[in-house]
Amino acid sequence: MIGMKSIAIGAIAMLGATAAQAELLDDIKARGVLKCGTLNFLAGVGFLDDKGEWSGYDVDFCKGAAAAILGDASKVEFVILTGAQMFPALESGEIDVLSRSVTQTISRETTMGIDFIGPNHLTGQGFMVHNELGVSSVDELDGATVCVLAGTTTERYLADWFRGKDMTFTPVATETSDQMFANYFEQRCDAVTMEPPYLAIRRAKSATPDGHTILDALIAKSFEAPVIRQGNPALREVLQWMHWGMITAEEMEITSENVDEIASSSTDPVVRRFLGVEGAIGEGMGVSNDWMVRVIKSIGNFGEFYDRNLGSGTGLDVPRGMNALWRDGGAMVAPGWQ
Amino acid sequence: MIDIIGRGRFGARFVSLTRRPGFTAQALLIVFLVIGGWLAIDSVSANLERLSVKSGYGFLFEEAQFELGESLIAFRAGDTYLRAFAAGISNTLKVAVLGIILSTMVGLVVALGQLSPSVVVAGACRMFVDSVRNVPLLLQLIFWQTFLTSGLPIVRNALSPVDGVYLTNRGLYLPAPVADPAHGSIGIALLVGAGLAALIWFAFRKGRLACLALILPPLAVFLLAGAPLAFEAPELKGFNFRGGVEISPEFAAMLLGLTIYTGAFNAEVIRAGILGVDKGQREAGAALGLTPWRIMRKIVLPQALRIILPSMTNSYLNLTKESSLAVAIGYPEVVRVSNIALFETGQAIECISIIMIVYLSLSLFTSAILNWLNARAQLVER
Repeated sequence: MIGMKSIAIGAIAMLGATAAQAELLDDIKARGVLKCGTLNFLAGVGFLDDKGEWSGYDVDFCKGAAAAILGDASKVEFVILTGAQMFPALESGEIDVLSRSVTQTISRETTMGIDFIGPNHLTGQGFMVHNELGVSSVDELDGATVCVLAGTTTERYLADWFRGKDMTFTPVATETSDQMFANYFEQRCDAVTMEPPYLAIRRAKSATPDGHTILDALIAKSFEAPVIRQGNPALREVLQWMHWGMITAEEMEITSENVDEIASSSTDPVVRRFLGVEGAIGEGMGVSNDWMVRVIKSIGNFGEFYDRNLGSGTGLDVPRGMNALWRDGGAMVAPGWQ
Repeated sequence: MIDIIGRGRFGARFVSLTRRPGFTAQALLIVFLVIGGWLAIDSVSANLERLSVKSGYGFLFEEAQFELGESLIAFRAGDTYLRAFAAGISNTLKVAVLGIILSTMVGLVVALGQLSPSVVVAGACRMFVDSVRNVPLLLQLIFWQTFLTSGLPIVRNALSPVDGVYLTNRGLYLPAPVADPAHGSIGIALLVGAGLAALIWFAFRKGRLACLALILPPLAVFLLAGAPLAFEAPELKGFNFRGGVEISPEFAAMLLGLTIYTGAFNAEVIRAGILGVDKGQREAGAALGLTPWRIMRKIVLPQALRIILPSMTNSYLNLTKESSLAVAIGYPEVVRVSNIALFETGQAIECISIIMIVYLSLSLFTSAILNWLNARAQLVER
């Protein structure tokens, strides 16, 4: 009986513990490490190489967040998650930040108890087809078999789009993108659908890089954003302004190379406030005053961040498009740093 | 005594219950379990509310925005989640029922092969069992799927052994009968025949007459209606073959994998059952001058059935549960529906609970049938 009682008391204590919860920003600082949910199989996005090094767009965001909050970009614990695991992992507190190319939508934000940061990657959903089919436009895809990743927004947009056009298709949905592209390259499907940057990554690595066309038209917007649990306003502010800070740094032409020099020599009050030389913006937010200097030193400004992972110099050469600064014809903007 | 009688029958029963040894301990255990369960449910719902996550099964009646590909119960984007789950369950059932039947056949053939006097046949069957049982099922499923999609030709170079039959890496396409108004009445006639056959079997135990009763009514209606049987052959239109029946490589891989894997286990169960029958029975049969095949069919197998059935129940339950691995190769069964519903609605607890209930009911149903069969197969001792 005593055994039974102590088990019951233990169980009650455990249930109680999850109910009490402080602001996540303080928890992360107390813990000294940021737990980040991401993926490990897409070079340029989230990738774990054979030496155990993490790289990619989604990975770098978490490194930047660790630099901002803990002052050290290496204090990240990465958790590899599938599409089906990612929201439960975030809700249960297994991870602090979900940076896994999650598409921001109103239904997700309003029904799931989560907050989106950013969005920090503006793309859309496109198709890649076999050249020998002679398809040049998305409108010629009626009756096609389409490979799609199970449990993603692409799957939903695909169904919506074909339904809207009164066209039919047969999906072949698999859980991993490796399986999906294997099916596509074996011609189990006529077309494969995903965001064009990821299609370009796979095409570049395939046996026949010239045998496939990525169709021009996008059938849906897909604005991807890191995600946190709702009810953590301080963490949300830090991450949102870190994203805007990287854009601001690119506007001010501050890079990971020259940030120290500019911090010590600049006389511009806006720059000095931005880099924490003057004022106490950082302290007010619960991080150090020079937090943006640390972020820029570890992952660069927005342009460096994009180019290192997806742009020129990676072999992927995904054009910046909407992800360029507004003054360069893109859609990346940031509010003022007053 | 008077006191007990005064409280009536219920009271007496209650008092005798409380006097049983260990009553306090058991009552306390129940109280703790109830409190624990209540606290767990309360804490989960409070936490979900705090996280402002929607809960409840109301989403089942909302529109589902995805396509499943193939399903027995027709499903299209825009139907409800409930229908999506029904379609998923129908696909699970399809592969499980066919898998159970085929794996039993494979098991029987391999078991008889292992017991065969021919060294080559016995050795080959032994090797089959050993190799198949010791490779994980998931690997086998991926192997079959890869084999079917990369081993077979693409749609435009389809293999066509007979006119109207096409084998491609998108599936096997067969001609299908064209629907005719008379088909409905033939179906009804078939039901009538089945009823008649059951009646004859239970009343007179005449197998041949029952078979005749099953076949005659639908055949008569079919001939009366002027034999309306036209086949529609699949045709390459646009990207894919249209018309006819399609068997997708994902379904074929699933069925092959489950049949072969479970078949190997079944072979061992059946072999053990056959060896478990006293060899005196076999010798007695031989002494009566029966052929080896008749001895096997009339004497050994019926007795082996008693030993086989309980283990077979286990094996069938495993097959049904293992069909959930289909999600890895893209066959749209119930786990796939649940995963996508979870992704779309974020209602993890509800979606997972639905799969749990589905598998639990399927398993309980299967074991109920087999327990009934098992009870019938037992020796009736007087």
